[in-house]
Amino acid sequence: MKPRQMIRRQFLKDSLGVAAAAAVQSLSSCGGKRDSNPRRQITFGSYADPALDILKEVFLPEFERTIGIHTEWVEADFSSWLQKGLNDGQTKAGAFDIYVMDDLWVPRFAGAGYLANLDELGFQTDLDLVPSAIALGYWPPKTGLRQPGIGSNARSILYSLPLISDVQLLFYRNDVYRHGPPATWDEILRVARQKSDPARHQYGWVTRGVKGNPIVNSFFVFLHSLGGDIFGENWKVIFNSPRGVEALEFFLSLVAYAPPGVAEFDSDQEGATLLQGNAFAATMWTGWCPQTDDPTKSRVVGKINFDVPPKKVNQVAKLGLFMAGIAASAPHKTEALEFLKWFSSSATQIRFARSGGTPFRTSAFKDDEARKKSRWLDATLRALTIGVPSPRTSDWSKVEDILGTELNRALLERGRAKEHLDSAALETSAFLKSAGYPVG
Amino acid sequence: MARSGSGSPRQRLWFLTRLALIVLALIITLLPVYWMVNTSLKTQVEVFASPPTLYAQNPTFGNYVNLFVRRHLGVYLLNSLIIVGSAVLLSLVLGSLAAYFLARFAKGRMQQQLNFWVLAPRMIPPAALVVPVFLILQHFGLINKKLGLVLVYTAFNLPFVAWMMRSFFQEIPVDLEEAAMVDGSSRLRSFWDVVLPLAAPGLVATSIFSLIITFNEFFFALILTSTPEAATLPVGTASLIGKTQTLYGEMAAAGVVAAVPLVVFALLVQRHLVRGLTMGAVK
Repeated sequence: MKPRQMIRRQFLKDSLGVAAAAAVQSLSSCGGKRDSNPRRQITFGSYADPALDILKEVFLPEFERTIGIHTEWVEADFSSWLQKGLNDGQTKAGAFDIYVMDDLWVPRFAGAGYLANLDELGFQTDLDLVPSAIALGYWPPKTGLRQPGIGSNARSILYSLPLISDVQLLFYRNDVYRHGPPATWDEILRVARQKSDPARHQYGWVTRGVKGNPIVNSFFVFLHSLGGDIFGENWKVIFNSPRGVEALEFFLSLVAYAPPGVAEFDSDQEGATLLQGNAFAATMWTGWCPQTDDPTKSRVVGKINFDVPPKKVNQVAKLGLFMAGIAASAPHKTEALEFLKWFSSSATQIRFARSGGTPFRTSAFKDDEARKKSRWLDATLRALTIGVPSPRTSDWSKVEDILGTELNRALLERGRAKEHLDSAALETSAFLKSAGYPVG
Repeated sequence: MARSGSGSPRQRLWFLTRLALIVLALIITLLPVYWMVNTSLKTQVEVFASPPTLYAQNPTFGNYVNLFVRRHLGVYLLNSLIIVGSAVLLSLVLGSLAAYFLARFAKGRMQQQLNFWVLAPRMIPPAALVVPVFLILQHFGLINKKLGLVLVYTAFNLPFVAWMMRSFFQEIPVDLEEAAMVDGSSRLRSFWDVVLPLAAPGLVATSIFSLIITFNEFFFALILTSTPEAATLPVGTASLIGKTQTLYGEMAAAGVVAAVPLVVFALLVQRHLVRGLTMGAVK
């Protein structure tokens, strides 16, 4: 016993000594002011998402090799990164050169002056950039409603570029829909009624039901598909119009054929249900497409096809692109601009598409080799052309919270569509009024 | 076995009841740990299998490989070890000295006041402190620096260490120190040679609690760091939650990796730990 105790004590002492020495060594170099290293580099701040893997693992190293600018990629979870990015913008800390943003955030970052003006920096757009994708980078928006305080004559400025195209596609089982993609929502409902079999965990439809952004994104397509909208003229809330109510009632009728617990489903559960072979169809983000053919992630390899979301009155797809903007406080603006120019060039975009990424240039979508590699590119381009973004306002997240909460309640109750939409409309109107919107 | 087989039926029943309760407690305690390890060895398609599989059908270390190769978790782990190790060591040194003062010299009203004010910082919700702390660190250029987090964690650990160690020191008879001083020791020497060795189990128990609290701390690490230069393991683990997808297998693997340093430390000091947990403030 004695020698063993001695060894352990000695080990502890030695470990403590080594740890202390390492800590002193490490800490001695980490205090003080910012590093004034003159090396050409860019720091990206981003939320994490597997859709970014190709960019991080293939294209950033290629950029470093060919252009000679070092890159650092810093990421956090979605909401944490939003907070960090806003903090960095507000305090002008300059910790990041490029902010990776959800397209919803562009009004917030650009409106607050946290993004550099790409027009002024010298970025040139061209007609090959998918119009609906590049439009998300402008503030104020080129078309549609403008936030209070922004004049109708105010020039739209390019503040960010698409980084990865992401849009909601219809994912459907080709062994269920044997004659091709369902053309209408009614067809999806009919097949769900006929073929759903909960005893065998087979469901006609799966969707996101979590309150807030997830359920609003799911409902959004139905709302627009039935000819409804979130806001009318002068920010009048119209999602509770008869068309809106009809859209929610239809959504609820489809949810009757979804798995139990769908009111708590987010993208993960929605995707997992489809990839486990338990659902026939869903509208999901393009980022999920590559996983459908990966046997470590899907039990239905080769059985899922993609198309634009079906039609009711209109045919629309919800946009949700990954955007990139240069921080107004970026210490390496020139290098950041070099990256944006390089990555958005036609040659890089074609290589990106051929590597499995989802580009934002029409020429890359139409490249034969890329289309062979990623069979969803054709549907994605078509979806982008009919794509509708969330309303372009920095207050959208608050509206999403209000509407998403009521939609989730309707989902839990499986009814009372009109009451819930009216309640959300009332609260949204009150909020918008307090925030200075004219509200109709 | 001899004990279970001997004695009256009533004693045997009592023994079996206790055994059943212990097994039940172990299942409740260890099931989440088992599930974490189990999930870390599954492919994504199996993670979401319904009904869930009780053990990995095709075990893989892919999640661990991804963690260290693609997600650079090793950097976060190293940051955590450096920051947490430094902060705990510093707070143990400073906190023990403060605790010794509180145990031996603070008397009457002064004792009450000091005890209260030492503990007071722990009563403030972290969310209320984070902005002032952020501004202070920003002023000194310590945002996104390991040293900044070390100082913050030391400050937050100090009250805890001081209170814990105070009760351990109070249990050590003053006579022992006085005897050492009569033999010629200085106050500091008697503290070092007599009091601290006797309070070693307390130090170990306190260090374990401090390590757990600090190693798992997320909020301040998230706000005060931005890059892998200083971000800690909980922050790195949280980045596995994506915009549209959460990497559950890799998160489980990160949980296993995060548990290893604490388990290893606990094993190394277990001899003192048992005694430390049965004396002083935690008895």
